[in-house]
Amino acid sequence: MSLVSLKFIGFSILTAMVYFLVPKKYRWMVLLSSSILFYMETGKRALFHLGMASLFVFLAGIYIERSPVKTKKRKFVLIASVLLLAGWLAAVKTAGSKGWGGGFLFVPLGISYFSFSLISYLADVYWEKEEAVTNFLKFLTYVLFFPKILQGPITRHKDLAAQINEGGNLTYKNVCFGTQRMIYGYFKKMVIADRAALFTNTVFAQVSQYSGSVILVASFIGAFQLYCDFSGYMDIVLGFTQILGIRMDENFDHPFFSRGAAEFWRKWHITLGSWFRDYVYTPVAMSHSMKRLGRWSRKNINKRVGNSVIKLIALSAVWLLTGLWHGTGWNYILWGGYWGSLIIFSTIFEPEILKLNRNLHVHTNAASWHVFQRCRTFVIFSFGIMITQVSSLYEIKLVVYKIVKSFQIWNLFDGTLYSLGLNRVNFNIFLVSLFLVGMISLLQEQGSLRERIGGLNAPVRWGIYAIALSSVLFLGIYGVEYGSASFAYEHF
Amino acid sequence: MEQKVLKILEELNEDIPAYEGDNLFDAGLLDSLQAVDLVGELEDAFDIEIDAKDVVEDNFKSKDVIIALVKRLLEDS
Repeated sequence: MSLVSLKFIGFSILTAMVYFLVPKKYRWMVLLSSSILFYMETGKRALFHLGMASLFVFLAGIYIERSPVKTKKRKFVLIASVLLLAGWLAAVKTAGSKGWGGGFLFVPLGISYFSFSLISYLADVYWEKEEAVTNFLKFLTYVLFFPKILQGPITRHKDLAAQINEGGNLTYKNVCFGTQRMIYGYFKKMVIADRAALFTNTVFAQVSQYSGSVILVASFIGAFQLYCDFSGYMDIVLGFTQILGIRMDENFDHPFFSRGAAEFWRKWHITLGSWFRDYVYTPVAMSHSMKRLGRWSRKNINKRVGNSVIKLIALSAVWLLTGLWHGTGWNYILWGGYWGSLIIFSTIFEPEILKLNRNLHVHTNAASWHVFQRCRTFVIFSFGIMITQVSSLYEIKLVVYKIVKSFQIWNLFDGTLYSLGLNRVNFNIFLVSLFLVGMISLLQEQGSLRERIGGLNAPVRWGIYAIALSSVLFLGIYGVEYGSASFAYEHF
Repeated sequence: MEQKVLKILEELNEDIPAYEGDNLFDAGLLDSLQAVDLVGELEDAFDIEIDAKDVVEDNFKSKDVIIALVKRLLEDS
């Protein structure tokens, strides 16, 4: 069931009504039933596989908790379970992309998200950060919770389960703010992202046909498209859970205002980044062998090399896995290597970069320098998108060649841009909407915009709501049955 | 012991010892990459073992909780 469909809106309203009609202590059962119905749409077989994986992890969690700490058996169950889950994820994703398995190995929707949720649950039980769940149906409610199952956020069990089990409260503020956020999410997705997709799909389908300037514009538009698509999805689901009185983790914090690659990844897909930090980076960096290597290097070479070598290895593991998480194709591995190299380089050589800035008399506190850093981060991100969009290494070379040797800047002014899936009117709607989102983001940086709108006079307030809703209804891009294109991150 | 911890924190970021707030991460004075450096420094300086499960934000969010962590590990060892 697409989140951008009348069916989902009806389903959400019905779920919220039933949720608040039943007594608080039974509300989790409403969420379990809704989640099963929601996931049933992707097929009974997928639901069965997901149920089996959840049962396996549920039992493994109990076993780990009941085994004495620091025993080999306990550690073995954790490692074997994690390897099984990761192996299952890798197998179905590889089979899915290569067409192997003849239908036996298929990719259940949202597998990357729920397998990560299951792994983090087991690790947290192992590290005694939380107790193992003893009620399987409650555990299944967390795993299947439909607002998060298809695209995240990868909310940790201990944060979400307590709220689900306790039951949310019905308040005017939650309903009002939640609905506003859902409308804003639909605006980002349907008015901006789906409109941008008409342009980027045209260009990236045949990059050889277009000049460097057109390809560059497509990659910039592609960056905004991906942001509005993914963050729009988050606004919809976080708005809906706010109506239910349940708070899930934020996944975005205005990433395009970031001044560097590392900061960008602390603000983009936040829950994935924090998952890799807690369950890959820290365990690798803190493993006995890494510590021994770091200690030896600090003692025999110097402190900086000792610290750097640990970061180099741990960050390489993180970015290789981040690339593979997004897809098993060569371009995703290259994409992971691209980001990993940038972050490793800027981390390890930070003292030299600072020294270079000093020698070049760069005023690093000046607003102009900050603007330059933000633009640079955006260009780096846009180029990364290009790596994942093209179909071969040859095409990447072709794109670089076109940008350098065949830029044809006049294509930006001679009307070419209006002939690539978006006519002049639609192109302008896209630009104005994007500008609006930029302004809203700037205002959000200064505090809650919804609180400020809530404080306005009723006619102004309701005027804003009416304009927001009308713009989605009249300017949104619609497909069959008033649905929209699927979400980009749904396929991971 | 406290002075030694403060000196290590100062070498990592000179603004940390003067920081009186409740979250070094939110204040931008410490991040997860630096936390790994800090663990190495503390282990070397006090001959303690900081487990991966203890490397969480709650144990490193202020100079006081870092001192408390070292104190606890010294008592346990």
